[in-house]
Amino acid sequence: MEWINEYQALKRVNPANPFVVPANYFNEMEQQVMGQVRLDAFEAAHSKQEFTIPDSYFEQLTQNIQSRIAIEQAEEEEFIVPQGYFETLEQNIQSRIAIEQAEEEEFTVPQDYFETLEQNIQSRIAIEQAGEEGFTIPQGYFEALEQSIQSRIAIEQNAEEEFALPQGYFEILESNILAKTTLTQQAEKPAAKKQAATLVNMWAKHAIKYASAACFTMVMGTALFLSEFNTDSRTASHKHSYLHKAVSRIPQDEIETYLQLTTDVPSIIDNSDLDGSETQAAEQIKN
Amino acid sequence: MSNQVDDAELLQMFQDEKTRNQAFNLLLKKYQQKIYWHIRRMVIDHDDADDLVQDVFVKIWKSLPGFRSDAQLYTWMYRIATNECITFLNRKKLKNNVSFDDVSHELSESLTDSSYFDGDKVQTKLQKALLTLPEKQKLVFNMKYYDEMKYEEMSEILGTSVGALKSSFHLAVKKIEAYLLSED
Repeated sequence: MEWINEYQALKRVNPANPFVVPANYFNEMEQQVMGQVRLDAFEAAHSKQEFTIPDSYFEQLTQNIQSRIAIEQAEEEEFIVPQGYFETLEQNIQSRIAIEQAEEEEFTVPQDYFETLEQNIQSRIAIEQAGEEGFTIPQGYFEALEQSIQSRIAIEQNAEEEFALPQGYFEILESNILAKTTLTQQAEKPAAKKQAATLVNMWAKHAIKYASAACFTMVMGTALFLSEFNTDSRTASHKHSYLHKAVSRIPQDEIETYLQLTTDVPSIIDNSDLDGSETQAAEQIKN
Repeated sequence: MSNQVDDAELLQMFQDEKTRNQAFNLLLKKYQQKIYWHIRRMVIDHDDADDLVQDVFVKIWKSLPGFRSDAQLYTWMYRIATNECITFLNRKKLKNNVSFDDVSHELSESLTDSSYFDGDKVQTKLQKALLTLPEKQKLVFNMKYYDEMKYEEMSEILGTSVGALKSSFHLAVKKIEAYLLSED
């Protein structure tokens, strides 16, 4: 402890042990330690004998546990319910109903809503109808519109069916007509030599022009002649007319009286130079 | 102490199963107080020291069949005791989630409150000064100051070179001297 002389403060400290122990501590500690040592020795000696395991126990332990789990899972797979399921089922259902009722209550309507709904709708319709009066339609128009259109279509379809033509009728019409006319005549005259049809302009020849002018002149001259000199035929036709027959049945006295009262009879008689019968009638009137 | 048996003879008795318990009983009588005080100075509290002493000797009982005679028996037992102390203090820090300074403060309080401390004012200051040191320096100082152990023996116990131990002791003494002077 020579080194302590260099440290004066430490040198003043009493080197005696300041710590104390309970009375008779070390004697008891010896017994305690020996007792614990014997206990450990006993446990070490007997633990190996009392707890033995079969050979390869731990090698098979994992497989055995997995097999046991698989068996229990297979047994539980048949329609199992969670533990305490039926005990809480009623409460769960009631809670669900309460929730749904609460959700439904969120969609409320004002008081007397449905009582005034019909009236409100009718008022709205009346307002919209008033705005659309410029283009009114008969009542029930749209309800009958579809039926009307279908009826119209049906009628037109029937009309078309009455005058229906075979398909492609007009395409083969010309060939059919030719077959029954021209081709038939050709078949009847097989010996006739087929000539190519040529179009001849008839007015291109001078002889035809002169002949036509002469015929026209002759016809016109004959018509004038007949109109000037064919008076007998006109008289004859007059005698057979309705007026002549009616006048003939009137008594002569009445005619003369009538003429004297209403007309200038002599002028009529003088101008009457038609045929002999009229002249005789005029002389009879004068007489 | 005159009736104490030599370590070599104790080991020989321990090898014989018939004298094993007797050998251990003799070993316990020979070293129990040295081991206790070594532990007590480190953990301060008597009850903690008591638990650790019992644990240390049970370990010695279990490990003694494998002890190699090339080392000294008492240095081997000191090493076991030292490791148990360090493990205990580290576990206490983790358990209370406190730092080294907080543990030192807690040990200082238990020092003054303990009914198993009979030191005067200066001795109490010395113990408080020791609590401010790192564990390695505290161990070296205690073994040198109280146990008057040689550096070679300390080197065998702590697994540290003699030079490093001298340096640690020199630092520890300087700190303690400064602490004692400042407190005065």
